[in-house]
Amino acid sequence: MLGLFALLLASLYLLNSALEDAARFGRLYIILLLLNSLFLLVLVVSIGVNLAKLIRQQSRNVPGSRLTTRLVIVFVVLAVAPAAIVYVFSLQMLQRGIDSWFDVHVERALQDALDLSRSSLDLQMHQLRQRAEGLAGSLVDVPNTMAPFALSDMLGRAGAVEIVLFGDNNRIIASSGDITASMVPRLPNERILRLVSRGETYVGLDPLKDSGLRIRVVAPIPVTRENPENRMLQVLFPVSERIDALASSVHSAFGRYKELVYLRTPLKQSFVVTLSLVLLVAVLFAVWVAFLMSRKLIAPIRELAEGTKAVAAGEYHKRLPVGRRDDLGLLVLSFNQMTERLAEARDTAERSQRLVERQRAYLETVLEHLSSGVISLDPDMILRTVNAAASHVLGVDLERYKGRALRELGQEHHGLAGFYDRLAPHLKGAEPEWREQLNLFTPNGRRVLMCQGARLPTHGETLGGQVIVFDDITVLIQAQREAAWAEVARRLAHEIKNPLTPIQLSAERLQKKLLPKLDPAETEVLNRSTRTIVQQVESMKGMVNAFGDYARTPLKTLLPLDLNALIKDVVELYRSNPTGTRVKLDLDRSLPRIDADSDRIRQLLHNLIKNALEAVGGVSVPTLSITTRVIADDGMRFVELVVADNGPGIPSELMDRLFEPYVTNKTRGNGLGLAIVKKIVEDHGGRVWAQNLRAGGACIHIRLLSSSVQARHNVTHIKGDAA
Amino acid sequence: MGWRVGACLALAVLIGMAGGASTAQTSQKRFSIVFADVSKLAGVYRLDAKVNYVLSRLAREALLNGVRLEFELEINILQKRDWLPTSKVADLDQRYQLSYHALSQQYVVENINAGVHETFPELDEALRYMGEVIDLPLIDASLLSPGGKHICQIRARLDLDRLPLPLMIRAYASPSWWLRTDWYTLELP
Repeated sequence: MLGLFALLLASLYLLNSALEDAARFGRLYIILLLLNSLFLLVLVVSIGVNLAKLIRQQSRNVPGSRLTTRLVIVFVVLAVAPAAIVYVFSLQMLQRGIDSWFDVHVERALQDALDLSRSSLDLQMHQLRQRAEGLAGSLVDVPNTMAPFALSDMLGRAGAVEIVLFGDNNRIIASSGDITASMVPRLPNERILRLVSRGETYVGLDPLKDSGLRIRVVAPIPVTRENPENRMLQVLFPVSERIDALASSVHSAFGRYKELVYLRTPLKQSFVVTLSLVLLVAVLFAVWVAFLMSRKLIAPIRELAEGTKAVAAGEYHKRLPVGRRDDLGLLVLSFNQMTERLAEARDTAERSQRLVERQRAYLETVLEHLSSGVISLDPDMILRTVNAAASHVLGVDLERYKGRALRELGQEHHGLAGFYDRLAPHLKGAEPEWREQLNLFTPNGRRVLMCQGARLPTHGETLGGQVIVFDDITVLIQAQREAAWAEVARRLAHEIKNPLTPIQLSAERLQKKLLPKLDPAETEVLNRSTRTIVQQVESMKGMVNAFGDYARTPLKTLLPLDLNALIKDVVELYRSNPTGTRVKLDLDRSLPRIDADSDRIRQLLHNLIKNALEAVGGVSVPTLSITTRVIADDGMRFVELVVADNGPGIPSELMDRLFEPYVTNKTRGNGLGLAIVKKIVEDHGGRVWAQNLRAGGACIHIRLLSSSVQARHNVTHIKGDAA
Repeated sequence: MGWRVGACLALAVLIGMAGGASTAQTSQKRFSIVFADVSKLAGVYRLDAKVNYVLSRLAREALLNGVRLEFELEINILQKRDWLPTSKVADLDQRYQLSYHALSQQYVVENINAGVHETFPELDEALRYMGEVIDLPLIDASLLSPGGKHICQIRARLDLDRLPLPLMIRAYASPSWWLRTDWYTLELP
């Protein structure tokens, strides 16, 4: 750029020099003018390109473009304003300066001086004309042969420098004078010859080659008989030195002044052109430099802006090149330090986050592999976290309920409605920890859950939600209960059944020993008493055996079982019952198999049918109906067994405790029939409930899980438990 | 001379003086070569020619205001070659200076090459005198390659570079000053 500037200065200097010394730099001036014009054009194009680029950048909101614009405007104003002022004043001074060279008085004085010189010369010319005419007259009678002598004589006498006598066709007859310069005398031109041939005398001034004047007089020589040829005499007179010098000086001054006057306008134009060109080139160069400087100044700022944008976009490792040692360089250095620290902070945060993620993943893994179900709720009871065990325990895919209210779980799975209903008071309450045991009928069957809840830490003013941990304790409870019943049965056997045999044996021994010794009347009493003792002991034995059955050990291996076939087998035994009860079967042929212990299910059927037959004992047309069907509920398939009779129905006071041991309204029986039924159903993960029919009679519903067989088309959909 | 056309264009734009195109094509043909003839005498080629010079108003005005005008008669001797461009054998510039002597009210023509000058009370006479080229020796026949075809190109023009600088800028931008003949070509005998 400096080189370019130097070149520009040199060019402008030469331009100025050329203007001052036109003789030396005449053509160079034109070349320089052209070169500078070209340079100007290049500058204009370059500035135009820069300007267009700047406008484009500004319209695209490129960082730094506005600042560049401002800087360019400032630079341009700083460069153009003083230059423009100087230009205007220079122009005015130039105009006035050139105009001041010229004065009307001077011009008139010079013209007058020229006229005066002419007048002075005219006077001299007039005298010389007469002298020359005299000389010509004296040659009238001189023959051509004598002419050289006469001319030689005349030269000194007339004070001429050259005398030439010539005839027709410019034939020189004789000459005299200093003709060494041109070897031959300079003869008059045709116009003079024409004038002289008409008999007139020509007198005129002849400017010499370098300087000085000569007065040329051409006079005709009259024709005589002796000299019939048309002859002319040309006499060149010198102008007196004094007059010649003065006239030459006046002429020179006049000529130069006139030329100056004539060249005034072109001269002004030349100066204006040069000045304008110099100014334009300088200003445009300044503008171009302004663009260049602005760009250079803005470059680090633009880089900083782009760097900041990159940092905002997360590129914390962005580094800017530090190429300057000024304040901007310091700023770039600070920026680099800042991004370095940001990157470090980001890396630390990322490490922490990764650590947290790892811990979270670890916790999730632990949670996933926990046998306890874990769910978390936010303060609005929206499900946020679940583990696999939770879905497994509740028998539904809880992942689907993430982000939804826990209440919806109960709405979609009726068996799980209690989950929310029972826990809601705890969830809405303020207690930090709670515990609740729930009895739910999940798609996996009846489940006893032990739920423990805790309030999560609060965030600000809002409550932090709840975490609920629940365990499926169905098996545990069942095992405990079975163990308890087994213990009861064992104790009964030990404490009651064992003494019964000695009692029975003692009674029979008493009868055997005393009977021969007693009279008939006493014998009757003894027999009756002994029989009573024996019967009651038998009865007690039966009762204890029945209880033993109830508390018997758990199920054997569960195998797929065709319930319809089993029902038919069992019912066949009751076809010929003493009450004449009609047994109606309505069995679903598409009934899937169930995983069950066939012996226990057989016992269940016996108990139910016996119960029903006992219930219809006093009915005129006793009827027993056994129905099986497939039920789809909560996306699960169940096999439902319904045993209904048309007996008197279940008394309402017994309805709540119907399935408890020893709850009965019958005089016969041990009161364990339905309790055993319930136990078998629960051992199979099923559900049992009873209800009275509107038309009369009672109805026992048993719902058992089917094996993993696909549901058929004729699946009956039900809503609610009631038939 | 191409740069001159370019310069002329550039200056026309710069000064804003040119009313239109300032190329030679648009200027009037004020200068013309009426005839030219080359003869060989005593082993030297000699040129006889008549050039008609007609000055433009601006040129006459400048002349009367003391500006000296310089004319150039460019003569090129070229050799024609088969399959090759013509080559210049010799060139000759015959220069004349025309001025007005205000005191004597005479037009002075100076043949710069010959060093002689002539005065004329009328401009036309001066121009006519300047336009007459009589028996101008061009080149010795021995300098030309024997058997070669040679041509002579003649052109007369007003030399703008010799004008005073302020006028030169204007002259280059104005067609009135663009005074020149076309090249006149004739074969050497």
